[in-house]
Amino acid sequence: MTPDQAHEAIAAALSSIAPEVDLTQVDPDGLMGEELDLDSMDLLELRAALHDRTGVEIAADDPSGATLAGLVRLLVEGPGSSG
Amino acid sequence: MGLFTMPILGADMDQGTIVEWRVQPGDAVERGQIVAVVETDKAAIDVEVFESGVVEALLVDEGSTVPVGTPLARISAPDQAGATPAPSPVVPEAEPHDPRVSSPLVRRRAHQLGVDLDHLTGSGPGGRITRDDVERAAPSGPAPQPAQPAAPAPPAPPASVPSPASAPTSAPASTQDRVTAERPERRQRATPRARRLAADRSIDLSTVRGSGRRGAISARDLPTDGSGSPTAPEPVTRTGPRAAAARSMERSQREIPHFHLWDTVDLEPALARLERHNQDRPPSDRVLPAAVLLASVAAAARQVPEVNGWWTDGDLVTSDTVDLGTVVSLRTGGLATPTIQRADELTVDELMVRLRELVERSRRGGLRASDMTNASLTVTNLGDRGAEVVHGMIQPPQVALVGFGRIAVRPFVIDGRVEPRHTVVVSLAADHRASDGRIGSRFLHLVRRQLAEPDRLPFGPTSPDPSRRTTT
Repeated sequence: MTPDQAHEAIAAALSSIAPEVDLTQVDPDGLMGEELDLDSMDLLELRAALHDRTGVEIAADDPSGATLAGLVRLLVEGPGSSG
Repeated sequence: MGLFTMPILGADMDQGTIVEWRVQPGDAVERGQIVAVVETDKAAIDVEVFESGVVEALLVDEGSTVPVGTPLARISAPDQAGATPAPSPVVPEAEPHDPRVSSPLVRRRAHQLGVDLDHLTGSGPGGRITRDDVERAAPSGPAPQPAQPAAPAPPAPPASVPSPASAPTSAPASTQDRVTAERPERRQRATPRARRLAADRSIDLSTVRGSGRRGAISARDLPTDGSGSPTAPEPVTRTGPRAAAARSMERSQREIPHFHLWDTVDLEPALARLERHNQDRPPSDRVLPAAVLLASVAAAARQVPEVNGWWTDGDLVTSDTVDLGTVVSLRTGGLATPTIQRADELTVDELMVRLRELVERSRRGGLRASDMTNASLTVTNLGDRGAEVVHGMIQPPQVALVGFGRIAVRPFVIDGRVEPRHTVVVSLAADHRASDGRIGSRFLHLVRRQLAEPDRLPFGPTSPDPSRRTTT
């Protein structure tokens, strides 16, 4: 998956959770929860939606899944490579 | 034969607006089927029917606001259904019957808009003419529904519903037959209440993003700050979810003698148990700590009836079941408080499923009448980014509210040593007419014990089960 495809998958997954969000306005290194005002239920829905779309499983306690940049990296490289 | 009536969707509801009928006369309905969308002060709710049968007649028009208990539809029992030929339902109008129009609502709408049904092509099943077809054919787009309650409405509380006199877009019934040029020129789906409020506040509906089906705008989508009229603050005319919550909280502060207790709980045992439970599960099956906290409250509430019920007519009425109200914050602002019925009978997994459903329906629309039944106890959970402690306010007529602050690693004394542990502060706001500090302390003790000894919690069969293990 390319970074563009990863962005697209994240935007699509977010569209039902936080429809007003514009990913281009999000600090890629900020915590998504704070940047996008997502609570733990939203983040769970996001991980579930990304898993459905891409097959990539992101652990709830994986710190790299907490930022947009980290999430893109996980989707591009796969969770195995993130350690 | 039964009457389907306007349900009560929350303790403080006295009237509701039929936003949309999902069925038409002649339709067979099954128990639990969503038949209408009703808008209350708090939200648009999908309302289910509680008996199976055939819809004989719709008694209230879309757009009408009627008191709780008003008959909305006549539904024949299944055994009587054979006696009523479905294709020719009872229709109040004496007009010639066009077989392509099965709904009196569509016919009435056509009449209102001056659309000649004979010259219309239907887009519905079997060429049936739908309401959309009529509105598309209207000379100047759809007009707002005239306010035309089927039953006399009770005196509306001044804070909740603007009077018809202050609603410029609601046409008096006597002029409903004329399609005037002043009608809105563009087609924008919106509930009648949203139209009235938008007109009151000089809000252009085309600038509002609707959260309902097909982008329909409901009252809660409107900016609440009255952006069109900065010079006219209207402190008592707020409507929608926030106004309903404001009234409820005012009553709570005025009537309920609150007392507050709280306790810090070591969550490590429960979180460790939860981690085992979630192991090897796909993200969509994982359980959040919030569900575990709900389970601990449900189990404790079952044993302390003084916090699980209602203060009614000067006395405590305890509930036979633990129906937990949850507090869901909405992205548009405000809160929804849907209910998990019989939470004490559910496993942690089932609680998680219900919680997810309720959060999704609260935030994306689609709350059902069965989600809005009266709770016997409410739980508020501030979540990961919330404050440490909540000293909440009870939702009348309930007699207690349980609050959880943020789960975080904090210093905690275990076996005489200070250790960093995941802890949470659980608080109880309770009604001193119904309970006291001793009873409240016992309740918090039971919550704490559930979380300290998670084998007491209804985790169900030990996870992972063999079928899951093979997938790893």
